[in-house]
Amino acid sequence: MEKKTKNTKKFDIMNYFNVIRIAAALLLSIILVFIIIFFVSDMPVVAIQKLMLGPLETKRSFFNVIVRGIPLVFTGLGLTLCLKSGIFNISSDASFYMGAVVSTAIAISIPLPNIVHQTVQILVAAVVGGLISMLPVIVNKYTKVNPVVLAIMANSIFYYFGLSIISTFFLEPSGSWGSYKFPDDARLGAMIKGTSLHYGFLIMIVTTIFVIFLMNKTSFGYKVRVTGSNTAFAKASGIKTGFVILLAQFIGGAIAGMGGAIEIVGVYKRFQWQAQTNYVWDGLLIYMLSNGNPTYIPLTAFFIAYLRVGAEIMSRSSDLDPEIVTFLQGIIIFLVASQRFLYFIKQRHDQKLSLEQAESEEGGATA
Amino acid sequence: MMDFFMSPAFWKTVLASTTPVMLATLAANIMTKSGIFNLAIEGTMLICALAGVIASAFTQNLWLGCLIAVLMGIFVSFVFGYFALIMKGAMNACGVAMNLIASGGTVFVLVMLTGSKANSSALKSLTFPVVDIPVIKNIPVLGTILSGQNLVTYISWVIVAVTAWMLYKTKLGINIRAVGENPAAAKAAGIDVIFHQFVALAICGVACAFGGMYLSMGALRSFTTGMVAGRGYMSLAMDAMSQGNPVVGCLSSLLYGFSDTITVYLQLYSKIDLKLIEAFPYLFIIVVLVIIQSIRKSVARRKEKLASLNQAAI
Repeated sequence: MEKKTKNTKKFDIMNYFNVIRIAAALLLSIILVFIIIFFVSDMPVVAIQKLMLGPLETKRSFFNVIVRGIPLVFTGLGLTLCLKSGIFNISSDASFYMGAVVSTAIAISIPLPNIVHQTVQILVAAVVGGLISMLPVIVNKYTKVNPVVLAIMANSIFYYFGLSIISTFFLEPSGSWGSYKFPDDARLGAMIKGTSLHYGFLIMIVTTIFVIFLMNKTSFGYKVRVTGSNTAFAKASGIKTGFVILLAQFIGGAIAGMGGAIEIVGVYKRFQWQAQTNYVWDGLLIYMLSNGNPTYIPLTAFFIAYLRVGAEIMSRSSDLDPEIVTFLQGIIIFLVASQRFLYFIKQRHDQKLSLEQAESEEGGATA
Repeated sequence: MMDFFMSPAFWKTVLASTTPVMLATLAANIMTKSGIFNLAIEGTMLICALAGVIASAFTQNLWLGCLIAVLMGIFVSFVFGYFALIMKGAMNACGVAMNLIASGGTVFVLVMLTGSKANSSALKSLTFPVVDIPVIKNIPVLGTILSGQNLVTYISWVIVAVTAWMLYKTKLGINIRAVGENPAAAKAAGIDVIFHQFVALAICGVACAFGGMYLSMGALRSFTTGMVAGRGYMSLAMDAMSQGNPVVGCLSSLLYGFSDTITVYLQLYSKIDLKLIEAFPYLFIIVVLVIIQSIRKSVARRKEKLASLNQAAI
């Protein structure tokens, strides 16, 4: 009895094994990128300094980090729901892009009073995003193609679809490519005067709390997690897995769609996205760094946004291209995804633990 | 407007645009047969497309450049295999990671070497020649379609044939399929699972390398950013259609070539929005897949019924 209380009190570093693993993966990949920078750049020290500390230098770039982080938080939260249900559904980009398109359409074509206008935009974008996110799972049922492939195909299809909606119905004829300007009552105003921070930040906080509550405190969140970790078991214990999976995709897609709507009316004055948005890869990295726990999503999202802004500042003042961050992301995902990365530490610890246990049992038997 | 279906030039373009997807589908097929889900085909093709351009530009020797790109393809596949099989990473995540490394790394290297973010036209790279086949080129319609293709197209047919023969007729192929079917049983039978999976990965790398090189050294004369443009992902859909059989995979990739060529013609001759037409290949493939799978299902059901009827009769 005495021994047991002693054991629980003892600080066990292995409880933090996942944190250590992710931190080590981050550190290792950043060091690797530093080495590459040292080899290829003419001014490596300046480049690294700008990459790591650039966003803190001015107030403007610091707020840029926060603004850049908002869509990443939405994508990350959406992916958490989709991926936790056991389906590798990465169609968040489709939801995100179409959310922005739908929001643009409502902003330009339906006149509504302030606040009501934005609410309608975001809600409709959420519904559209949610429906899109369910498609890969439904199509998978009929074609047996891996949902990842279908999700990536959906990202392309809805990008072309959304782009042609904008260029057919809402394109401003003169000037550079873009839709008509949004009316003022359709935009999210600046939250702090003189910065680019918009009210989407508040919606982001509310959404984060909602997802944390949904995943950790409700029976639905529990069902999603059980379905994701063991579908057969979930089915056997009476969970309607098909329904749970579809609903999780819907909510996940809805959050991504909201993100698209908020990004387009919060940051931009008109629709100008001619290229495919690639938020989903950032979102995936955010999900993996937060270890699937929605509580840490904002933290990791702002970290990625920080890196992105830092890379842009770096490319402006050195000879390096900001795409090195995409390269860095790939390496981080590799290391975090590998179960066997730093596995020997856990293995050795487990061996020691079982040895101790066996010894104590032996001691008990002799006594 | 629909006359173009009848012209040999249309079908020649179909064969040409099938080539990269046919190679990628072959890569996906052999991955499926060995029990790996390789999302990194897209990224491997992209890296090899750039590697071939750079190597041929610096060595000024087409075959040396080709060899370096092939080795690069094998290396990239092995990196994926190392993280997915030996480090036990989730295959989806490892594939995404490789694709990110490819899309970021190629742009980074391109900017370092040429200063341009868009294409490699500053490098004097070599291209694969167009080949005329002696006898066939004189046959009226067939000659126009089959002859005068890029060399890589002919290489791809050889690779598909050799791989299909290897998979079904040699001991190595049977072992690879056994590993993919049931790794535990294969291990119990004394087959080295990891070794055979890496052999499959090497073949996948070679196929991806030729697919990538066709894009940057055959169809176009330089590397452009993101030039694989989803062909690698598409090949995984073709793979689901062919269920891992290289010969069927080769035929189903013709569907992609067909829809891709129609897209080009539609953009020329119809008034629909250009960007909307670009979504056509994706939708076409999904619709065909739904039809094929439902036919498959009904055939299986009928077989089952027949079997049970036979049993009842006995």
